[in-house]
Amino acid sequence: MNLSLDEFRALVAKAFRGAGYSWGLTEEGSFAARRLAEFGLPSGDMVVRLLRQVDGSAVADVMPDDAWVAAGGTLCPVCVGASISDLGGCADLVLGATIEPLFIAPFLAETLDAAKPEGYEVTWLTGRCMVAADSISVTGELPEAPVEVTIERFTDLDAAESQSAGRVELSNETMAALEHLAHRVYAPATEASRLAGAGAGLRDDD
Amino acid sequence: MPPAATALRPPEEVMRLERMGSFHQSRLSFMRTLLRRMKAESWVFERPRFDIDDNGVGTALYTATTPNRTYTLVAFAHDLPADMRSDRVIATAWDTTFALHDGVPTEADVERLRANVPLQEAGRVSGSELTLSRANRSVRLWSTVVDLLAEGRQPEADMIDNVGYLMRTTAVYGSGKFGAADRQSIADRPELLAPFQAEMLTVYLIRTFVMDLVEHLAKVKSPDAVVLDPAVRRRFGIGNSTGLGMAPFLITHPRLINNWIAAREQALARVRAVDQASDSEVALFESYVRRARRTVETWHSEHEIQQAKLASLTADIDLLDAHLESVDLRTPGAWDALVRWAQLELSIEGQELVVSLLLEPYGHLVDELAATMHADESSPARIDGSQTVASVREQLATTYGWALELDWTDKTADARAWYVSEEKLEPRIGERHEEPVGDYEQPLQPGRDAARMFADLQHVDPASTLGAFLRAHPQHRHTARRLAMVEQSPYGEIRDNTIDASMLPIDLLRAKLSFFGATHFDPRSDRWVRITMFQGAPFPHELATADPDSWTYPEEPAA
Repeated sequence: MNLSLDEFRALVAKAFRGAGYSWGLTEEGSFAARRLAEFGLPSGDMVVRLLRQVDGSAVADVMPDDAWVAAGGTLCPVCVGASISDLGGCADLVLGATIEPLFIAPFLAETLDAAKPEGYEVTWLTGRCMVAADSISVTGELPEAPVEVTIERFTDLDAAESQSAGRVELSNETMAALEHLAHRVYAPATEASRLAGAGAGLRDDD
Repeated sequence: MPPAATALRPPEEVMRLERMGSFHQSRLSFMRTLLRRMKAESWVFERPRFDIDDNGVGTALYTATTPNRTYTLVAFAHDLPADMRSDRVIATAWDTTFALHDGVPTEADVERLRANVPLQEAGRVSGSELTLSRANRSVRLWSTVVDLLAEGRQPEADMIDNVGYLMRTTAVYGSGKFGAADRQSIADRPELLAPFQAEMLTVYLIRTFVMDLVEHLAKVKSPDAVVLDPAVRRRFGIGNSTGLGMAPFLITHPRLINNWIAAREQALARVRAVDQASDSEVALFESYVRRARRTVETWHSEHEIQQAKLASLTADIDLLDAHLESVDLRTPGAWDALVRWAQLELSIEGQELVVSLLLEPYGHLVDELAATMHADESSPARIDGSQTVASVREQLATTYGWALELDWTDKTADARAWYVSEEKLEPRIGERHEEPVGDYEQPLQPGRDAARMFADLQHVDPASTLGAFLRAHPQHRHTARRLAMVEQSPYGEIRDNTIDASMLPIDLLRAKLSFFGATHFDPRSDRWVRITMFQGAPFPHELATADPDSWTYPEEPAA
C-alpha cells in the first residue's frame, strides 16, 4: 500500500504504543520512523523487526543506563536515540548489542546544525550510515539481528546527498504486522461507548 | 507601522475551556484569509465539467487557478436513499463525495477517484489529492428549495436562516489522511501556508457546486424554473457536523494552537493600543455591532447550553448598545477602555464577541498576523535533559499550578478517559470509573499527567538531571516534552482539566471551528456540534466586485 508520510507515522505510533512503549517514546519512535522513510529507507520493515524483538520486554530492560548498557543486555535504538537527543548529541560511543541501529540516526541528525559541516558515522559489522542535519545515507547491509554499534562524531563531514522520498510503500505483510500491533491500542466496543462515546447522531434526517 | 502593543491577555486567562468554547470567527479566521488572498491575487474559477443527470447523479469539476497553479474540486453526486443518510463521519454512503485534486485531473484521475472517493475506509486518494470530503443534503431544506425554484419562486429568508445550508459535510480530510498529500509537501506554497487553506478551498468550491446542483434539479423539474436571486443564493452556507474526532487536535498540536491564539491576542493588543480611533473606524465598529445583533437573531440552537449562552449574548449586545450611547469612542484609549468594560460587564461569550468585532475596522493592523499562524510540526520538540529536577519542578509548578492544586483522588477529577474505539477507530470519551476504558487512555490530559510527573519528581535528588529521570521514568517523557513546548508556546496549553466530569468537548470543537471561520454553533449534545461555513460569502464569480471580508455578519437592515 502507498501511504503518505503522516499516515505512516500515525500507524507506526499506534504500533509502538501497542508494543508497550510510553507515549513520549512512541512520539519519538514514530517520528524517527517517518524520517527514515523520508530518506527512502525500508522503515516499515525495520519498525516491525524492532517491535517484534522489544514486544513483551519491560522498557527498563532495553533502556540504556549512564554507561549506555541495557539491563536486559540488548538496547532499543529509540531509547538510545532519545537519550542522545536529551544530551544534545554525543561524543564517540561504542554500544553493545543494539536492535535496528539505524533508528539512532534521525536522533543524531536532529542534534546537528545544518549550517556547519558536522555529522556522525554509525557503523556496524556489515554496513555504515552517514548522518548530517538533513541527510541519512546507508552503505552496506542493514543488520537483521542486534549488532554492536560504533558512533563517531565528525566536524568536517562531506555529507552525501541522500535520496528523499515523499511517500511510503508498504507490503501487505508489513502493513498487517503494523496493524496487528496498532490494534492493541483500541478499546473494545461496549454498548455504552457505542451510544454515548462518539456523540454524533446516528441519523441525519433533518 | 502597527501601534505599540499593550499587554497581551495572559494564557491563564485565554486558555480556559469556557472561554475557548465562546470564541467567535474573526478577520484571522482561515476562511477569511483564503478569500482575501483569492481576491488580492485575482484567482480564476471555472467549471470545465458538469455532467449531472436528471436524477442528480454524475460528475462535476470546478477549478481554482492561482497565479502559479490550478486546484480542481472533483465532485461526485449520488442518489442516496433517505434511510442511508447519516451524520456520522463513519457512514457508508453519502449524497455527494469530493476530492481536491492538485492540478487539472486527467480522465484517468477522475475514474481513479470515482472508484475510491465514495467509499469510506476502503477509499484511498493519492499524493495528487489534497483533501477528501463527503456531504449530505439537508432533508429539511433541499426538496423545498428545488420545488420553489421549479415553481418560479425564491425561498424566504427566514426559512433559509433556520437551517443555513443545503448540504452538510461530514468531514473534510487533509494533511495526508487516506493517502492524500502530506502537509509538509505543500506547505511551501504561499497559498497553502496558512492553516487549513486546502480544506477551506474545498468547502468553498463544494458550496458553489451545491448551489449549481440545486438549480440544475429545479430546471429538470420544470423548464420554467428560476435560478436563485444572487442575494438569496449567498444566504446559503455549507453545514458541517463535527464530533469528538476533532477535539484531540487542540491538545495534540500545542505549537500550532499557540500560533493561532497568539495571533488573535496580538491582534487584540494592537487594536487596544490604537491611540485614537478615526470617525470611519468608529462608524465601522458600530455598524458591525448592529450586524452582530442580526447574527445572534439568526443563530438557532435547541441545546440548552447554547440557548443560555445566546440569551446572555443578546443581553450583552443590549448592554453594549447602551454603553456605546454613553461613551465617545473617539477619545484616546477608547478601545482599551471598551475591552476593560466588557471584562467587567459582559458574559464570556459577549467578551469574546467584542474581541472579534474590534478587529473588524483594523485590517491594516491585524491581517498580516495571518501569516504567523502556521507551525512546523515535522519533528518532536527536543527535551533538554541537562536541566535539573529542581528546575523542572519549578516550571511544572508555574505552568501547571492549577493542576497540581486539584485533588486527583476525587473521582470527578479524572471521571473521563479519552480512547479510540476498536469498532470505528474513532476518538471517544468514556466514564473511567464505569467503563473498562482506562487502560486504553490516550495522552489527552496534560494537567493530570503533569501532576503525576510532579509527584514522581518529589522522590528524586533535586540536583539530578531530567535526562536521568526520564530514563528511569519513561512514562513521563510526553509530559517533559509538552513542558518544553509550552515554555516556547504558552498559548498552546489549555489551563483546564480535560478529563473532569463536567468537561464539555464542544468547547474544544468551538475553539477550533471559530478559527476556521464557522458561525451559528449549534451543539446537538455535549460532544458534537453543527456549524455553518461561508454563509453570506460571495461566490467565485462575484469575488472580483465583492468585499472579501464584510460577509461574515448579515447586512444591516435598510434604514
